[in-house]
Amino acid sequence: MRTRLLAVLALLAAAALPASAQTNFTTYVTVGDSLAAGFESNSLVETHQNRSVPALIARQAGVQGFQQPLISEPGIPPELTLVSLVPAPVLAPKSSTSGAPKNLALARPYNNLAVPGATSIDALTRTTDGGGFHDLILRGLGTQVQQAVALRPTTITIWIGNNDVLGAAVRGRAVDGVTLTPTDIFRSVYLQIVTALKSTGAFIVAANLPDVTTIPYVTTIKPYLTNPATGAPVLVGGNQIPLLGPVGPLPSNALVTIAASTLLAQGIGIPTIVGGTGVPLPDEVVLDPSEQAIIRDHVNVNNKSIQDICGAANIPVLDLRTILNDVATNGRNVGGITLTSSFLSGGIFSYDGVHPNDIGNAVVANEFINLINAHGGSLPPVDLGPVLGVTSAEAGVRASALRPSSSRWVPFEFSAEAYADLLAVFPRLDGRP
Amino acid sequence: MPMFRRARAAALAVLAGAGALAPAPARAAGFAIFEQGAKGMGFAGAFTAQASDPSAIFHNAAGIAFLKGKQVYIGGTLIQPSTTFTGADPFPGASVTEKGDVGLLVPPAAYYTQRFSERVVFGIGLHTPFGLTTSWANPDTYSGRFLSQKAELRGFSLNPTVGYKLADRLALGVGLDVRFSSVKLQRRVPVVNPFTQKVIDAATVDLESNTDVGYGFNVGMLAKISESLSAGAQYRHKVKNNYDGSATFTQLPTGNAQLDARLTAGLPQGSQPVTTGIEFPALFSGGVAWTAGDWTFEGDIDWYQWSTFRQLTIVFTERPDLSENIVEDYKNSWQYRLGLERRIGERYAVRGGYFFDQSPAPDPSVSPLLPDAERNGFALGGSWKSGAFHADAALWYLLSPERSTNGVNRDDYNGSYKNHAVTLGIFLGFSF
Repeated sequence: MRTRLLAVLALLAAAALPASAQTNFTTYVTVGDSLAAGFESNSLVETHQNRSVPALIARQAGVQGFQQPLISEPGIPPELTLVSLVPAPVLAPKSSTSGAPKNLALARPYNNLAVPGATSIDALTRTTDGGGFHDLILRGLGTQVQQAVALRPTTITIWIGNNDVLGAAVRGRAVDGVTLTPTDIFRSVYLQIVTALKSTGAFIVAANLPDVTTIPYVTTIKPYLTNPATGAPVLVGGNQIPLLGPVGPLPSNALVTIAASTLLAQGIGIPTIVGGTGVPLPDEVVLDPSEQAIIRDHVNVNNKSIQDICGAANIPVLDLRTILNDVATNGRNVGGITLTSSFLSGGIFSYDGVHPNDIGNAVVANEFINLINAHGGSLPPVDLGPVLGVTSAEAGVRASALRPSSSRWVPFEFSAEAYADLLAVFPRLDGRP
Repeated sequence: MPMFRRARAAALAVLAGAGALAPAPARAAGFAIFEQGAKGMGFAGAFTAQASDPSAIFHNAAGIAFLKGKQVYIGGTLIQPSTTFTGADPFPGASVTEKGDVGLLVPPAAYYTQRFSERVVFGIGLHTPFGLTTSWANPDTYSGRFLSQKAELRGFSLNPTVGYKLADRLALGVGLDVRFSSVKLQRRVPVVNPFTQKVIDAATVDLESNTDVGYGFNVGMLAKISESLSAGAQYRHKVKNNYDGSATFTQLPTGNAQLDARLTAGLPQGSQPVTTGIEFPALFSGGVAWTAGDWTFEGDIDWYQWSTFRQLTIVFTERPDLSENIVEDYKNSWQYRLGLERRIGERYAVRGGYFFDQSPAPDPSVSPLLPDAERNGFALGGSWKSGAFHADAALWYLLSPERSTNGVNRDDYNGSYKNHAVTLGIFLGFSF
């Protein structure tokens, strides 16, 4: 009788505490892409890897030995920096040489297995990429998913799928199967990833995909001529001057990517009437409304797949799409500081206009932590004070080598090297080894 | 009549002196102040059913109908507030502690009453029913400096009053509440330094308003039901002040000339016209006093209609993009007051009391600007009388339990505020 009572009590106790049993961070592993890798300002580099979202979660959970594929300064590729601000901002790599891996000898898989550039298909199937990030991070020990399972994890974050849509935005082309993973393939691959990881018995959280048409990479340059100093439209006879796109003047709802900056600096895309060359911008730096719609549709369908698959597997999903859309639309107020999605001065995105900076990653980490805590965790949030520079002596202005911008047309200059480096991180899906 | 003119001249002289020095501490039931006379303070503010000195002009206008001859009651309250703040993650962070830096405040009060006939007494008073000062130590590095470094709501009421005896033991009082006030707000403007991707201080913005005059009224009743029992009640209407003012932006050097140039181009320069306003809530007080031998006991309840304080809107008339709407959403609040007096001979009295003061501020509105908290007030007081002259003194110790924002502050500035204050009221009375 007594033992039965004890058994009932034990059962009740177990029922009352399933959540705390769920969040066991003894072995924490993450599967993902550049966002989870802590890739910032077009670079994988230890200063930012140490502030990656999974690294922050691990730190807040008190995880010991959370191993990442750290790269020494100035990173791979060399980190972008803001060279000068006036008359127009100039961004360029810090150095012409790259950093070096520091943690290659680790005798087991890394805890942070996220590979910059990886698609969902890569996470599931790729083991090598001819000397790229996959080789650097996976080191011939299997795919991301295989290595994650091999670590016998107790907690996993899945943050994959961004590159199944992001390449389309970065390349200014939305072509199913070329820059976009077909949504039915994404669904089936994502299901396989979740099924494989779920088999470990680990507590899992996932994140959905942000709307990549809201990132500064595609929202910073307007489809019409602006005054670089003020950002205000240049008016002739009271009218805006549309930039020239591949099929004529750009409609007001076209998006122009940061990659157009070096072209605009040469007068390309600018009508002759205001002193430009009259040569149109190429398609690869423009997202016309139909391309935007295709990208958004893929984001929405893929997010539905993530929701369905994770819902069925009892995996909580962080709604990053809503969170980042809110930042883009309303900004996020932290103690009177409004963080926005603006390029350079918004506080959320790094110098490549695609990836969050340290502040953005800390904000996202806290969103993950809120979700984990809502499912039985008890992680303290990341202290934003030092990250923002408000409550420590970390602030202070870096002296910069001045290199004035050459152009009267561009809001800023994103150097050609910077663009080439960025494209290398987003190889065409159909051109992969 | 010449006497009345002299009285008015005296009141105006007091006013001239007081206008400049009438800020008062925050952290009282919203920003209401009850330290308006040291005898009432000795009863922990439970004075509505007695209202037995000229501070009745504040506590219960009907009380002046029972005052003899001509009476002056004048004094001030020294207030030493103290606030500490402990931060919470994610912002400003659990390792952050901050301190208030308000210094010593002295809201003054002055009252004059004069019997006009058997039934009618006129009076005029100056008091400070609402006021606010919040100021944070180390303002250059204070973690809440982008919300508020310093805030002041200065003001006073000029309160001409008439008391009328409806019967020997029943009086009615009516006052005109002429409310003067002005506001000052100071904070920093943050920007993200594009070179460092850290937040820095781009400018200081100082908002300073003119002094506005608003009008309200107060009505009180006082019934001396028997030799030992009296009951009183007063209603003081809400008063709206609308301010015109200016916000002055002072750019701060960042150490980077390029960034400075960008900020100069982007920041509003110099002084911008602004308008704002505050509606001071209505106050209802009711109490019962009981006297037996050398003892008098009073219990009061006060109700503030704080629900009218929904938001603080600052309109930049020439730069609508800079306009702000600070949501407050205050709730109506109650205060409970108990006080006891023991008279010792003809010349002395000692008093003590306790009050509890609810906070009208919901958790999201507890902020560096208004770090409101409920209060427990412990009162100790005494009087000394000699002929036509008397002096009252009272000490309040105000203790607030720790007030946490519970992680829901509207500006994501979370943590716990701990307030306490010591106030000392000294008032002198003279009858002639």
